[in-house]
Amino acid sequence: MPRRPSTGTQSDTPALHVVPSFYGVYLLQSEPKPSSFYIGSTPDPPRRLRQHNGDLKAGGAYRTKRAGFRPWRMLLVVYDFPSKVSALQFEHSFQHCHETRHIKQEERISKNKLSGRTLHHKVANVALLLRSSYFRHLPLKVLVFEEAVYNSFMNNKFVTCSHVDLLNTNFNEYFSVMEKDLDSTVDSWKTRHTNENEIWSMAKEAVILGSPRCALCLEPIEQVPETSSPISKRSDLQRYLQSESLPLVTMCYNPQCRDVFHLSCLGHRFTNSDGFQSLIPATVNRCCSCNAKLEWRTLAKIATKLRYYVLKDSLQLPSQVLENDDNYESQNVNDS
Amino acid sequence: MVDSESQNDFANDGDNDSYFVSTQFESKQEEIMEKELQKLQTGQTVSQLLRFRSGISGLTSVTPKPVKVSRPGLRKTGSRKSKKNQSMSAMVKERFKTDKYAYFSGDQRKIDEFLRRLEGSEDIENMAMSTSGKDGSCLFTRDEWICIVQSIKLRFPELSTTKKKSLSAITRQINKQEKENEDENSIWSQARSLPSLELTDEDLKWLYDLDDEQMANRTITSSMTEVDGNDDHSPFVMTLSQTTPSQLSHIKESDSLYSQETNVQTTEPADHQSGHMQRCHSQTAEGKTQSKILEIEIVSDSEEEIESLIRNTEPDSSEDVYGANEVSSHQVPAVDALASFQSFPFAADMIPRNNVRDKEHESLHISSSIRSSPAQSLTQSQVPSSIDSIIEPPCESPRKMSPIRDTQPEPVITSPFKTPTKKSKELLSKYSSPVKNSIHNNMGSPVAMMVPRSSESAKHVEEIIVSSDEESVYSTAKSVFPSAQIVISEVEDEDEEFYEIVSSIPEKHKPTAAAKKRKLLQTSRYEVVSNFNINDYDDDQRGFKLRKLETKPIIIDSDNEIADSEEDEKNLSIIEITREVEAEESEHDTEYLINLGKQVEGNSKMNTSVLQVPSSPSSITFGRTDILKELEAFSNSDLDTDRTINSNTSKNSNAIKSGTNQTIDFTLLSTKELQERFKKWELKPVQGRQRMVSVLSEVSKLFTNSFNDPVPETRQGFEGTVYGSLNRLVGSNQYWHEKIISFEPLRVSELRDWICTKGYELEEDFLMRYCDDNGYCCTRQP
Repeated sequence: MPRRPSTGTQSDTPALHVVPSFYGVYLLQSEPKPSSFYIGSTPDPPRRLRQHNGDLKAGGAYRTKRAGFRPWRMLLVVYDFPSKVSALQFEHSFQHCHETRHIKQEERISKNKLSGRTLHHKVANVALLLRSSYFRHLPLKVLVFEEAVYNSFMNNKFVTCSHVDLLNTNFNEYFSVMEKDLDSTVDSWKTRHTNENEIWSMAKEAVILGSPRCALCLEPIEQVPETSSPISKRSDLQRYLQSESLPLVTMCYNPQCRDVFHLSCLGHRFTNSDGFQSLIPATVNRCCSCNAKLEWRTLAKIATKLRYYVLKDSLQLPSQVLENDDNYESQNVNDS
Repeated sequence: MVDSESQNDFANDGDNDSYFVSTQFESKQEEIMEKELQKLQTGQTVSQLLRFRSGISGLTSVTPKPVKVSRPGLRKTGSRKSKKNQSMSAMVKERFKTDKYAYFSGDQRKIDEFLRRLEGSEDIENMAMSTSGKDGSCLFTRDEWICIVQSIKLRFPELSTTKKKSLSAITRQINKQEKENEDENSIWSQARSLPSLELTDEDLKWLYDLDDEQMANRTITSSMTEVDGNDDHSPFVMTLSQTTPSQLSHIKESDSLYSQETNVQTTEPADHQSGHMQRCHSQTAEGKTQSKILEIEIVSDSEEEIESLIRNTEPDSSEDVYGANEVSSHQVPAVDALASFQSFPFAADMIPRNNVRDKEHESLHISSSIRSSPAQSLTQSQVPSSIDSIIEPPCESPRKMSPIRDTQPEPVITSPFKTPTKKSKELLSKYSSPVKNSIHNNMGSPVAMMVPRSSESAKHVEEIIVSSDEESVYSTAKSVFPSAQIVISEVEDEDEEFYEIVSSIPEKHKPTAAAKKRKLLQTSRYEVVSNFNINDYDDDQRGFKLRKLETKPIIIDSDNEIADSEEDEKNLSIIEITREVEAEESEHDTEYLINLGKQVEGNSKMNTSVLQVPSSPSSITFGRTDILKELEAFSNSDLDTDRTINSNTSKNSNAIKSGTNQTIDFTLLSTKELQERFKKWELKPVQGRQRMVSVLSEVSKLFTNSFNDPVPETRQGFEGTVYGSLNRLVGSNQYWHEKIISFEPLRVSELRDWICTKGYELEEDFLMRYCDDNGYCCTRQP
């Protein structure tokens, strides 16, 4: 399976932003040469690891191809990036810890390009980045696949103390594609996807098929736009979005609640109105109606995905590959 | 009894007396002894002290170590007397070859003195350098040379033979010069004298310009064109041609010249000619004939000037030819050639002098013709008389061409020219209106005026006029918009023909510091009928200052201000603009003012001209009046005074702000303060003061507009306020708010453009920082 060409990053292709279901930055370690590390980003870690190890012929894995370094082990994945761009930014910062703007000068533990080559340094840098002014606003989580890495996080050798949403697990366990693990209660790659699929079908049903009102501003939500001319330029799309009042709509994904909201209404609700804090709400909030815990990232994902779903046909947007969304697409087709 | 008694008395007296005497003696002796003791003691102390003194006074006086005396003595004499130093003793060398510092060992004095000597030599060198830098007229004095030579030797005791040779050559030269110095003909005397009269190209150009101007009204004769052809070699010609505004005066001047020349010839004809020849000779072998030239100088120094000038500009060969020509010219009176040069005989006179090399025959012809041309001169030249008696100042010469002139024909020197202080320029400006100068100085002959050394004339001209056109003008008329009525310096004219700036032009005689550059400031005051809250403003680059003069301070309450209230008569702002002007520019400025006066005079036929900028903008057609234009734009644009004048109306109007705002006026801060501000707020530094100011003022808009807190001094405070207002701004817009909360990567350029539409011109760098700090994903992707 070839690595997909990254679409939507071209400056002129109209692309609606959709929060990806998974995007992660990972750290590899060479098993024969434990001092060698590799940092990359992917929406699909198992596939990417196979590429690195040469199990998949297709797909670039140039840096890890050198003889004597394979096989590679995945030590950790920082994931739940809300956009591919932010994941790439994290990847770049992680690769250039000694010069990234996201780590303050005085906090740096990697002073130059050659320093910071131990596992402890890598872990500490991840911790530093996660608490940086930028990335701490993102709903990031960390998967740790090795006990040593976990211990390193816990030991906190460089006193980069920060709250990291850690999940210590086993790589193969987490990304297991075995059918037998399907019903395991442990959070895993598979359960994650099934959950998201459920939420997606729920949202479609609630928002598109129904005629809801925003539970906060009580405005009726009309998701059916007037058919307009196809849009082939990014600027046109931006103008369209600015001119047409097409608010993002999301939904409480608690199956018992399913209240529909304007994303901006929720955003204002979840943030301080004085503007002194970031406009992005906290990672987890309580639903205004049912008080259920809601991840903001999921809410944003629902909203952006709904918008994409509604607009892509009416605007005849070029087909946009949503990262790792094959399942959804096929499911959606099946569903409809 | 009496006797006995008396005897007794006497005896008693005698006893007493002897006793007394003995005691006296005793005391005397004691005194003497004491004195001797004291003397001895003082002698001892003095000798002790003397030892100290000898210790201080140095090695020469008392050195009880005879062995050491010789060795340091050798060294010392060797280093002090430079001539002996050349043969530095081989013994000493050998002695100290193994250990150079043995000489200094254990004797601090030696080290000190050596160091002192080194320092002294360096000081002398420095001094020599500085003095040579101060006045370019003399390179080094003899003493300095010697000092330098000494220092060279001192610092490089082991010189190569070639260097020694060159040194000795220098000393020989110095000695030679010293000898020659005595009869004032040496290099030194020449070097000390004022620089030569050679005119630079620039000066020539200047001259030509003025000449063209002059010639514009005049019929350009063929001879004149010829003069124009003699470009670089004819500075003298040009100067003379200037002085020919009218035929009348010009003939007279020529007469005067002739009188001078003939004067010389009549008094010392033989010397004159021989002087010519010898002077040619004197260039190769220096100055034996100088004394003779000096004699000529006594007769007329202007003549000498001419000669020296020519000598400077012309090579020897042509000089020879010239001398020959002159001789021949005096001998051959070719009256036929007179006609061709009648119109402009003077210029023609000068041509051959400078063009001799190229046109020998022609020059011969011309010069001969000139020599014989005016019959008057010939007759006058026969009469040996003083120069002054001959010269009649040509009062009636038309003065239209010189741009600025005196109102009174009387010799009151109010030259509005800002005389450049350079020597050559001074000379030029001095003769910019030669006629006038000739009047005032009563020097008649333009040749005489050419002499810059004649100090009394130079002093007259070396006036630097700092023109402060300080006009208090009141305009009563009002334009459509009451905001501004700019009244420019009024120009009066008393004379029918001549215009004068009424403004008080302070005159300054400036006799010294010729090379120093002067700052000329021109101050203008404008009365603007409106309320301007003007901060004092300095523009260093463009060199002007803006001040608001103290009037009745009217504080505008920007909130309660009614638009019409500006029409109140009380609302007068007097803006004073002080401008730094170049020397030439200022001349133009005055010219411009004159022109302005002329123009207005022509328009309104009024003695007092009042220029209203908004209503009669056509009056301002002068390209260089930035200030006026700015004020004009300013007045036109500023319909409501509450509005801050935009930067597009004028670049400098940042300083001019109306209304009370809490904004820091960043234009008033120094660059360093601006940098500190950048550092304090951790803004990304930008290049250029202008840009810094704009960045800061734009950013500060964000917090001053939102609330009235004082300007944040810390980064946290700054970010708190600025991010707060930015967040409120962005959060109020659904499109951008949704973008942010749905984690859509923002394009910084788009965000900037949108924020720009809201009135904040922020830097992308700053927005990037804002996004980063708030967790908004942003890219710089185009």
